[in-house]
Amino acid sequence: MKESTVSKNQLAREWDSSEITLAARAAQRHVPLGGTFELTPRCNLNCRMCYVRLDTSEMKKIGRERTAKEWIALAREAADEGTLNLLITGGEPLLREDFAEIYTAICQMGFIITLNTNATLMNSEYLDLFKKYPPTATNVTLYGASAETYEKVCGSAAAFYKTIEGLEMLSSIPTELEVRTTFIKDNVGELDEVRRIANKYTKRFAINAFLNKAIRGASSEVENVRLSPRELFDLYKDNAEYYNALNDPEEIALEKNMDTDNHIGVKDYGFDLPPKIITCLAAKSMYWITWDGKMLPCGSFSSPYTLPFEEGFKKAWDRLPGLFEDIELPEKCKTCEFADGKCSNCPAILQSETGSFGTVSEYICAVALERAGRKK
Amino acid sequence: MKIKEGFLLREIADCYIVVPVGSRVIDFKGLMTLNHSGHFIWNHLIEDNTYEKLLDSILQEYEVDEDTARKDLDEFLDKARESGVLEE
Repeated sequence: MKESTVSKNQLAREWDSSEITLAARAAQRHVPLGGTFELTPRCNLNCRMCYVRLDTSEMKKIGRERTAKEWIALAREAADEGTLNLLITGGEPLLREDFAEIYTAICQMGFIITLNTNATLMNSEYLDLFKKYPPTATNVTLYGASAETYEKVCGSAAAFYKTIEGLEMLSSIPTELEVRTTFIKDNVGELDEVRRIANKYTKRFAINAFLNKAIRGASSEVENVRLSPRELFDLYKDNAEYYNALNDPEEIALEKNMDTDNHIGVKDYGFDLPPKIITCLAAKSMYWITWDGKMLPCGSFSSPYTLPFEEGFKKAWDRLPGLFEDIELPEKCKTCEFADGKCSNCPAILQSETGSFGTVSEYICAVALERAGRKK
Repeated sequence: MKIKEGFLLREIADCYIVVPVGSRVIDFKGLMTLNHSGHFIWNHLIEDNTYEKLLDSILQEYEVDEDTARKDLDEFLDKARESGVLEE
C-alpha cells in the first residue's frame, strides 16, 4: 500500500521487528516516555535504609506535597508530551488521603501505570478501586519473613502481617504483581524464606541490595546496615543459583530480568545523547517528579532540577538535559578501568554518596572492584 | 463494527500506540501498535462502520488495488479482533 507518508509506517515496522525499542526511539526524539510521580515522602513504615522518607514535620520544613488537582493537571501535560509509562510511588502513596482521587483521574489518561506500595495500607476501599482500575503492574516491598524482622528493619512487627494481608488482596486483582525485597544486614539471612512467601503470590521476585545514602533532606542508617560489596554479590549469586537450579529457561530469564544490578547504558542503543554524563535513559526519555514538585532525571538525584508545576511540564522537560551539560565526573572516574560496564559511573549515585558530582566514593569503588573480580 | 469504548490511540515518538484506559486494563494487557494504514482504519472505526465502507475509504485514500486494500484491512481486523478492541 502506497501511503501519503511512509515514515511512520517504517518506524512502526522497525519497532515491530525489535530493531529498536520504544524507549530508545523516545530518547532519540527527547520524548518523556517514562515518568515517576513521587506523591509523598511520608511513609507509615520507618525502614532503616530508606533514602527518601520524611515524617510530616521534616517534610513541612522542606516544602509541601503537591495537591491532587496539581498532580492531575500535570499528568495531563505529561500525557500530551508523550509519557506512556507512569510509576506512582512515594514514600507510601496509599498514605495520601486523596490517593484515590489522583489515581482515578490518571487512569483515564492512557498511561501504563505501575504502583509501588508496601501493601500494609490495603483495605476494602483500595481493593474495590484496584478491581475497577487495576494498575498494569504493582510492586510490593516485602522486608522480611517474620514479624521480628519487620520490627528490626521497618520499626513495626505488625506491618509484617499487614503486608501479607495486603499481598492477599492484591493477588486477587488483575495486575502484574511483583514482590521486591531490599536486603540489609538485618534480613540478609532470609532470602529463601522471603522468596518462598513472595512465590505464594507471584513468580516475579526481585532483590535489591545496592543501597545509597539518603537524599533530599531524608536521613537513614544505611551506612551501618547495608551489605558489604562481598555480601551483596554473594546474595545475588545465591538468588541466581536458586533459579538456575530450577533448570527452567523461563525462570532463569525472569531472574535475570529482575536483577537490579544491570548497567544498560544508552551506548547499547548505538548512539550518544545529551546529557552525556548520564549513562542511562534518565533525562533522555525518563524523568522523576518529587513530592514537592521538582523534575529530576531520576529519583536518585537531588539537583539540579526544573520546576514543572511552575514553568509547565514541557518547558521543564526540555530544559532538564541542559542543566547537566557542564557537569563532569571526577578525573579518576573518567579514566577508571571499570568505567565500561563494571561501574555504572552514575552521577546520581556519586551525588547521593558524596554530596557532589566531583568527589570519588570509596564505597562505589569497592562495589565496582568486587563486580570486576566476579566478572573475570 | 466499531472500536470498543475505553481504548485510546496515542501518537508517541512517531509511533501509533493503542492503550486501554480505566477498566479496560482488566481485559487488555500490553500494547497494540499500528502502522500508518492501521491508524487510518482505526480513525474510521471510532464511529460504527461497515467492511465495504472501510474498503472504499482505503481505496480513496491510498493508491492501491482492491486486493491489496482488502488484505491490509483483513490484517488489521484480525489483529483488532485478537486484541479484543473490536465491537461487532
